[in-house]
Amino acid sequence: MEIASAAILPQLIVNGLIAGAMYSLTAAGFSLVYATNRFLNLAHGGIMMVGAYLVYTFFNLAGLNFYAASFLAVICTSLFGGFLFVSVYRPLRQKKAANMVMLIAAAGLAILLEALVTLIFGTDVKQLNFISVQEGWHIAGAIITPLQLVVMAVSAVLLVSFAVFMKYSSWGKLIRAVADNADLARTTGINPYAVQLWSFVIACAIASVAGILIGLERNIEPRMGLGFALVSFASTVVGGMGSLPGAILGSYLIGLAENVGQWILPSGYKEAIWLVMLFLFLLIRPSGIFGTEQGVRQTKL
Amino acid sequence: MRKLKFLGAMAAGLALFGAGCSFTPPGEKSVTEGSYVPKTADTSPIKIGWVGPLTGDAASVGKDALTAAQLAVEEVNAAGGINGRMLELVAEDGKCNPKDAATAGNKLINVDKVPAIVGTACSGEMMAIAPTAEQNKTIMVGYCASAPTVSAAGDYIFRTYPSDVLQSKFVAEYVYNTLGKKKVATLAVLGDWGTGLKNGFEQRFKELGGEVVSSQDYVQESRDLRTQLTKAKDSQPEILFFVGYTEASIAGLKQAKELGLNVSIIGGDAWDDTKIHANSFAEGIMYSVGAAPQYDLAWVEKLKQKGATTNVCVPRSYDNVKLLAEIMKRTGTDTAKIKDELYKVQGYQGIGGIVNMDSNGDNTSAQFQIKVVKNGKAEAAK
Repeated sequence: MEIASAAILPQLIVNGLIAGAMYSLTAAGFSLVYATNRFLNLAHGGIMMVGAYLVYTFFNLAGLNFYAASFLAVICTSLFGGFLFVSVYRPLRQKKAANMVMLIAAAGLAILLEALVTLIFGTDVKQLNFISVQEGWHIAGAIITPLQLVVMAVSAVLLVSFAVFMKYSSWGKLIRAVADNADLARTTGINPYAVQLWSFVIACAIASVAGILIGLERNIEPRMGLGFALVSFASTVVGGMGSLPGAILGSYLIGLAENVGQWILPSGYKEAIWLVMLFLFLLIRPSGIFGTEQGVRQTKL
Repeated sequence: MRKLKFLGAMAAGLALFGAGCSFTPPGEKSVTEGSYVPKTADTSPIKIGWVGPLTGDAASVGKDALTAAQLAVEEVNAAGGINGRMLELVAEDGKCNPKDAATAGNKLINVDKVPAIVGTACSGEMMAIAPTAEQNKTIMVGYCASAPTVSAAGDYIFRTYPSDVLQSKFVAEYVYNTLGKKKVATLAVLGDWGTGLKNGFEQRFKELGGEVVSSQDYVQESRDLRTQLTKAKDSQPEILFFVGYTEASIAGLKQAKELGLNVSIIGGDAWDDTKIHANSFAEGIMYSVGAAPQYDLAWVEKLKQKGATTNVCVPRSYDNVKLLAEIMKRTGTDTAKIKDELYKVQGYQGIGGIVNMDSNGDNTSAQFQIKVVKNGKAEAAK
């Protein structure tokens, strides 16, 4: 077993934070959909991937300004997400489809999105080439690029604003009410359908922002969605099912574990680290860090 | 609570399922080329299989290789086919991974009942199909699979692409003797090809007296090699030997630059892909490639008209179709006879170079060269 020198520890932590920030961008939306709609949207990664391809279309193919292209991509992805919700998920829910059915529908949608994008754009990797690649900034013994700082900042803003929004805003209260008990919420005059639709659309908007940032950092491929959907899922388990700040914290834990873990373990075990972590959480603390052990939520599952 | 646990466990199973395989689209599943309507029964087309990555990792390499194979089929058919019988290419997507390649191979062998498969590109694909092919006496002629393990894969398993035993030695000697670098860090994709090339390189490099200061791996789907590169940088190498397919390599080379890993980088033959060369951060990288010093320009032009470029796997995908066609003109579709003829191949001049088969079904006439990326284009290193 080779143990690398302690001098690289700051860089490993930064690597973990960068990975965690990227995971959190998809995990946040994934968790938001789960909180309000109570199903695991495995197609969330696919929607992120669609967002990335849209910005590629607008920026690289249509030649628009990057920021205009990004804005357009976010709008289009949100609309597309709304369309998917209304045309696929909503009709299934109206037929009282079980969670398993929703999960299978989501998995099917993930495959469909990937196949469609492959058909249109081909399988090869696409590069946005917006930021020229150069050595990053040296900060506290580690190297980080400006783009990675932006990714981390966006993730931090999401974390804080989610926590505040869910706790204090009236919309947050609506979302929590629907998340706790959609039927009960309906009796008090809340329209759960609207809340579910809007949280799905917001989740898609966040997913497209994630797609753009991930596209800039790691390039764009049809397969990019699946891996992120799985890590998002693991993050929500670790952080607590249905807890938005929990999903974001879970993302950082996974990112840190898989990178700092390589300080001791051989690098080939990187993916194994987060899968083992997922199992440990399921065995020891299945409700995650922020998940509720007691109360209404458990009966709603 | 119980339900929560159940849901969690179910989803964890799903996560594992997803981690092991991937939801890859079935696009471009079956491409048939040169389909020909026979007038009489004895001029029915002869099907031959083709396997390579059409989606997923290394797809850019695979698609061009398929175009080249289709070009070869067209040429064979235009020249009268196999004694009047047309060739028909049945292409399957091996996705550069063993699981999907096994499915593709099974379909070609059991459903299409092809006598021979031109393939594969990736060594993992080759090793997944080889047992079934051997059992059913189906010929396989690899055009890019280079892992040392392929040599012993079976009697019916051939390849015209040289084994990595030769390539890894060649690169190690180039790094140690020609470049004069004595301390190397290695980073390779896990799998038959990456691990094989890395191990062979390290072994030869140590024999020569060099030091391997860091040895890192990554899984094929990973696009985040920052921690591997951080460890490599920490070991203060004079050069990095980086074995990866196109997608991860683009991400890894970018991350190496961002992390300030300012040493020479040398890679394996999969880097013979223009998709990599065009990037600013790929400037100055070197790689080895097992190929003729100069491809036939008229052939390159024909390929260009079909929208394909010449990457590492392209010439031999073309050559293998031509070679099989030539042999089948003498033997028909009897695979035992084709096998015997293949072992006798000596001095066959293909686009990718000369083919001399040995008793393992390996091409011993390995011509390797080092290419270096300058101004976004690969050229022969001096």
